[in-house]
Amino acid sequence: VTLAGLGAGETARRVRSREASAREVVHDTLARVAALDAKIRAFTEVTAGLARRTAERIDAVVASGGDPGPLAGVPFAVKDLYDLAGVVTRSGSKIHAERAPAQASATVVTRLMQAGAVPIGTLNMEEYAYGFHTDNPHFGRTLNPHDPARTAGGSSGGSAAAVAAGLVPLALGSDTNGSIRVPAAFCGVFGLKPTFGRLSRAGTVLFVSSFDHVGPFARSVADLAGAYDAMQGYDPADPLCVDMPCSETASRLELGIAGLRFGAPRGYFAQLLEAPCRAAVETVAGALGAKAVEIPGCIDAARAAAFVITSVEAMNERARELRTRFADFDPKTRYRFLAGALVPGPWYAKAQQFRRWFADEARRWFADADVMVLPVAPVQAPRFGETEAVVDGRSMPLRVLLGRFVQPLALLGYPIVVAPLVSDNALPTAVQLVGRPFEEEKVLRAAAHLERIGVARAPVARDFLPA
Amino acid sequence: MAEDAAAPVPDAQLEVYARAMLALNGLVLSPADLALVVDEFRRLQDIAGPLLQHEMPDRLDLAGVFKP
Repeated sequence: VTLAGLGAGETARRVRSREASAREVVHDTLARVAALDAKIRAFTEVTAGLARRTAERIDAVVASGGDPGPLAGVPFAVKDLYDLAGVVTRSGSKIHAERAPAQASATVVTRLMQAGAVPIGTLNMEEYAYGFHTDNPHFGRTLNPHDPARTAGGSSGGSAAAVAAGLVPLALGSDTNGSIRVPAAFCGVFGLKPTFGRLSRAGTVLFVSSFDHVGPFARSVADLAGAYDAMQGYDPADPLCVDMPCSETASRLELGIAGLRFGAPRGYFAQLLEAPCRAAVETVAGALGAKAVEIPGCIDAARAAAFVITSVEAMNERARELRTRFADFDPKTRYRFLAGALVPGPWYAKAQQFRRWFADEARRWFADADVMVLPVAPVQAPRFGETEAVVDGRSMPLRVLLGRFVQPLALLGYPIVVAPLVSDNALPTAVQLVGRPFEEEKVLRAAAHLERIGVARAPVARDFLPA
Repeated sequence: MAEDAAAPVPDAQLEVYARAMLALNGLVLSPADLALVVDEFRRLQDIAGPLLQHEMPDRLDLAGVFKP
């Protein structure tokens, strides 16, 4: 019986109780990745040596009677913009691939390892995290485990696909304008974008510092919460990391939704949705007893502000590479970066000013609700090559559609869990569960309730189920 | 003075602006590459419309965020 494909909690339980060794878990996981990754191309590098060495240390701690940590022996992999000591951080770029290996691991990677987790490798992404498809000209196209003709989403597509295929129980991604949320929805796994500033970004390649978040993917809410708990904590190395006490969530999932109030926004967030995506929101809103919430008509402006800030800051982050290595950029992204150089300064200033105003507005939405139920994407995972989709009788460019419901929320930095709805023989759908700042516990409890009553689930994709 | 937040700019003028702005950022592009950047900027300009048209209240608390 293979140990690969187990959830994080069950893996840690077996390793901690000596039912299995971390070395056996790593052996089976590496074998599973070697056998199956070619079907989805999620990994950019498998760090077998690092994984075996880490597992040996954990087994030694267990053998000596010590505490190997709550994630003992749990395999995880990281989007290829997290530093892993001794490994080159590619950030989806041919240019970064030429850099020297990282001297140290990113803060959140170190924290997962201190909790006993074992790094298995790095995962594919859009070049510099700019896009929703993970169709990377340098490292390949990541395929959706539920249908290889379709995108896994992006930019953290490798992370979502690796978890959906059961190659690892945990993966880390990053979310600037939806890059955890969209791939989690397309691949049918749970994803957490914590509050902006809650988790350290030190040791990651920035894309848009004003919006960059790091966060985990998993196939259960308990695993998602366990990973989040292990990564919490102030880190002075990230100037935007908030200095506040840790707030453990995993042990509080059993509280369920008692005392929580739910809202389902009307207006912008209920328009331009394919039927299955609309049905997902209605199913979850019904299951949680969500009440309709009126949202003022400023969401288009919020999305516009996110675009403007993204364009300018992304250009600034990559200006040096654009000057010196223009031809080595993905043609899909290089002109997007450069367009940021043309944005008039007052547009950027207004976008940041709008962000302040919008945050005040959004607080009012939560006057009568602790958690909001919103769609993730207007459509399910598109086929590769599709550029348009028909929603509410209108044909629209996918490039415009995919960020419709995730990008406006980038301005707010609120905590969001993506809860997937996966049924047999159907593509996944999903919803965003959005909470107030630093109330990760509430959105995780809501997701755990949905999982408990069978509404949300994230099984290993059918073609990847262990024999 | 026009009241629109962003007035239309003819392609030729925008190309001159783009070339200048990119040069100020240390980039000199071929005409073909420059045209693609302008195309991207046109898309961005369309998307930015609702922000530019949004009237912000005159409030001190919406000013810069830096606190020493």
